[in-house]
Amino acid sequence: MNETVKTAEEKRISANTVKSVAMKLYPFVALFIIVVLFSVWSGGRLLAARNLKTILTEAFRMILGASALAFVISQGAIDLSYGSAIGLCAAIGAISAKAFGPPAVFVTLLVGAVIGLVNGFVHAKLHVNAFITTLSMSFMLGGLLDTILGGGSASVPYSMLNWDSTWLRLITLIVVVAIGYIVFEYGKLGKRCRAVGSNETAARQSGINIANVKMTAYMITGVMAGFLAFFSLIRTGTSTSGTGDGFEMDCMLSLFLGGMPITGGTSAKFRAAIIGGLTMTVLTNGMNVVSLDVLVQQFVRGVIFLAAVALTFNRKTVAFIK
Amino acid sequence: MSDEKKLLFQAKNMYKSFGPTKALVDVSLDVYAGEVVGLIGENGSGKSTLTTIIARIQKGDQEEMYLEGQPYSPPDVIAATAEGICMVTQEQATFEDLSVAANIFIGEEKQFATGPVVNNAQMKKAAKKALENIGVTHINVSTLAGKLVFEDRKLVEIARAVYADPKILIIDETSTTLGKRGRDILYSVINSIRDSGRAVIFISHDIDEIMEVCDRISILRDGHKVAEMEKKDFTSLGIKRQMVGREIEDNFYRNDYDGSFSDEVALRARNLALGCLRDISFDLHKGEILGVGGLADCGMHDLGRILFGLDKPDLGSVETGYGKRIKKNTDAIKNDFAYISKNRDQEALFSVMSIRDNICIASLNKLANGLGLISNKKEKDLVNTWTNELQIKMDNMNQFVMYLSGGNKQKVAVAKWLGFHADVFILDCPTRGIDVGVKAAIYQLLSELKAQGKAIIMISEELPEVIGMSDRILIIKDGLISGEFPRNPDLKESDLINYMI
Repeated sequence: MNETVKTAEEKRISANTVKSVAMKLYPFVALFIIVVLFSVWSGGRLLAARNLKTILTEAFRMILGASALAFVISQGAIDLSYGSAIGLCAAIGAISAKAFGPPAVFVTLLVGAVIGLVNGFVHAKLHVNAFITTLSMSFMLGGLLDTILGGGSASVPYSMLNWDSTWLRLITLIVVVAIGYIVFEYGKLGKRCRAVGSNETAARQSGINIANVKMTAYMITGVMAGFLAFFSLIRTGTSTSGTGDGFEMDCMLSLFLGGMPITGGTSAKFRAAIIGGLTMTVLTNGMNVVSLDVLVQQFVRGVIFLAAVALTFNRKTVAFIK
Repeated sequence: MSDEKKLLFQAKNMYKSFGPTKALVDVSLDVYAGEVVGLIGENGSGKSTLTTIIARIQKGDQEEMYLEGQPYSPPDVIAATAEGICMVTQEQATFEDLSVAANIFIGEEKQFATGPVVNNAQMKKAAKKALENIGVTHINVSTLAGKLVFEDRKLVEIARAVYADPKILIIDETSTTLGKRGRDILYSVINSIRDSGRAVIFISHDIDEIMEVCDRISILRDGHKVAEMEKKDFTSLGIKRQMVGREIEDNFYRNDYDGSFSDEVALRARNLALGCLRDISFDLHKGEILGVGGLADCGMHDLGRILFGLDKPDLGSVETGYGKRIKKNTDAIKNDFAYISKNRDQEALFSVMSIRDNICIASLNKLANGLGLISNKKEKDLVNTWTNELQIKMDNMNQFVMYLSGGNKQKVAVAKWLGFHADVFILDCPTRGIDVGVKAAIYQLLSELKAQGKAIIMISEELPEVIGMSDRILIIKDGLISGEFPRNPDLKESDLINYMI
C-alpha cells in the first residue's frame, strides 16, 4: 500500500520539478526559437552585420525601457503613460535643445521625473488604481504633445546628432542595466517592490512605506522616459506626435516574454527585462526584415502578449488576471 | 455501544501526500448516526486534510469511502453537498462583495429564478429564514458580507451549510473565530443535528471545547491516527499526551504571580476613538504583558491596528514613552514597534514569498549598507538565527510560507519581529488556530521577552490565556475600558465575563 503512495508522490514531485524548470527556461527557449526562426526565414539577413547594428539600437531602447518598468510591474502595477511620456519629453527636449544644445537632456529628465511624480502621487496618495491613473495620464500627455507640436514636429540643432554613437549606447546600456540589476535583486527598493506585489497589506503591516515605494517606481519610469527621449532626439533629430507611441506595450511584452508575472511579486526577476527585451527586439526587427505586413505584425504581437501573460502568472495565487 | 448505532459514514485507509510530506497515512474514520465525532491533533497532523477530502475540496491519493453503506466518491464539493456532506472550513469562505443573502444561496439561485431573473425579495426572505433557523437574528441579509465582522461572516457560512440539510456537517476550527454568542449558536446547531439522528465531525484545537462537544474523538499525529476515545475516557492530559506523543505539563501558562513591571512607559494611548471604540487610554510599560480582552466585535482588534499606525483614530493619540507620535506604520517601525495581525495568512505573512523574505522584510533598513544594498550572507545569518531559535519546521529557507503548518507560519511571523529586535510587541490573538506545542513555545517566548524588558500587548479572545499570561488585564466593552485587573492567581474567567457583556 505504501508503494502506491510513493509512486503517486514521486510523480507529483517530478511533474512539479519539470514544470518549474520549464518556467525558468521558457524565456531562453523563446529567445532561441525567435532568433532561429527569423534567421532562417530572412535567409540570414537577420544576423548580417548591418542589421545587428539596428538590433543593438532597438535593444538599447527596449532593454532600458523594460528595466525601469520592471520596478512598476513587480508591484503588480502598470504604467500606460510610458510611451506618451517619452513623446512629451522629446518634444519639450527638442524645443529646449534649440536654446541650450545637448544640456537639454536635463530638461527631458526633469519633465520625465515630474510625470512620474504625478503618476505616483495620484496612484499612491489619492488611491486611484494604476490602470486608470496612467491611462488618463497618457491621454493628457498626448493632448499636451499635440498642443506643443501644433500638429507638426520639432527638430534639434543638427550638431546634436554627432552625439549619437553605437559605443555610447552600448556602454550606457551595460552601466544602467548593471545598476538596475543590483538595485532590483539586492536593494531595499527591489525587495520592497516585490513585497508590495506579493501582498500589499502584509507589506504595510511590516512597516513598509507603500506610498514611497510606489512613487519611487513611477519616478524611475518617468526619468527613464526622459532619458530615452533624449537618445531618440540625438538619433532621429526630431520629435513628432508618433515618438514613443506604443512603447509601454512593447516594454510590457518584453517583460512577460522574459518571464515576469503580470501580478508581480516574489517571482519577479530582473533578468526578464534583459532577456525579454532582446526577444522583443529580435521579434520586431525580424518581422520587419521579412517584410511582414504591419497589420499581421500587430496580430502576432497580440497573440504573443496573451500567451506570455497566461504562461507566466502564478495560477495558485490568483483566480484571474485583472 | 457502537454496535447498536447505525453506521452513517465510513472512510477506510486514506492516504494523501503533499510533495515529500505525508499528510495522511492509512487513516480510517467511522461516523455513526446521532453522534459528534471530534478530530484533534497538532497543526499538520492531517485533520483538515482528512475532512477536506471527505468534503471533496480535494481528493486523496488513495481513498475508500461509504455513505450509508453506498460507495461515496463525488467529483467535487457541489456533488458532495448534494449527497449530504457539507463543510464549514477554517478559512474565510464568504464572498465579500455579495450580500449575505446571495452568499447563503450561492450556486442555488435557480430556486428563486424566473427565466434569467432572480427574485431578490424572495431570496432575502429565505436567507432570513435560514439565519433564524440557526438562531441568528442580528444580521441584516442585505448587507455585504465584507461589511460584517469576522464572527458574523462565519455564522453566515454556518447558516449556508445547515440550510443544505446535510447528513454530515464538518466543522473545521471554526470556534476560534467566534465569540461567546457565536459559539453558543454553533453548539445549538451541533446539538440539533445530533438529535435529529445525523452527525457532525468537529475539529478544534481547544481541548476543553472538544471534550464538551464531542461524543467520541479520533486523535491524529503526523498523519497517523494514534488513538480513539469515548466520552467517558476523556481527560485533558490524556488527550494532550496522545496529540504531542510525549509528556507535557498541564499548565503551560506563566506560573509566577509576580505581576511587576518597570515604571518606564513604552507606549501611551490617549483618548482613542474610532468606529465602536469611544475613549481608550492606557500606558504600556517596559517589561509588562498587558492583556486586552472583550467580545470579538468590541473593537479590541481595531485597537491593535491603531497602535501600530495602520488606522488613523478619529480622536486621540498614540505616543512612545518619549512622546513621539505614532501616526503611520513607518512611525511604528522607527520606534521599534512590532505588530502581528489576528488575520495571519492574509495580513501578517506573505504566503507566496519565501520564509527568508518573510523574516527579512521588516529588517531591510537594519540589514542594508550605505547604498541601500543587502548582502545574501547577512540575510541568511538572520534567518538561520531565528529559524533555529524558534525551531521552525521547514525544508529550507526558500520554501514558500504557504506550505507551512499554522503553528510554523506563526513562528515565521514572530521571527520577523524578533530578528527586527522590536521593543514593543502588539500581538493580536497570537495563538489563534495553533496547536498546544507551538502555543506553549509562544507563551515561553512572551515570558522571555518580558524578562528582557520588552513591552507586550496581547489582544485575545481566549480568556484563559489572558488570565494566564498578563501582568495586567484591560477589558473593553461598549468602546470603553470597563475593567482593569492586576495579575492575581484567584482571577477567574467569570470575573472578566461580567465586564465584557
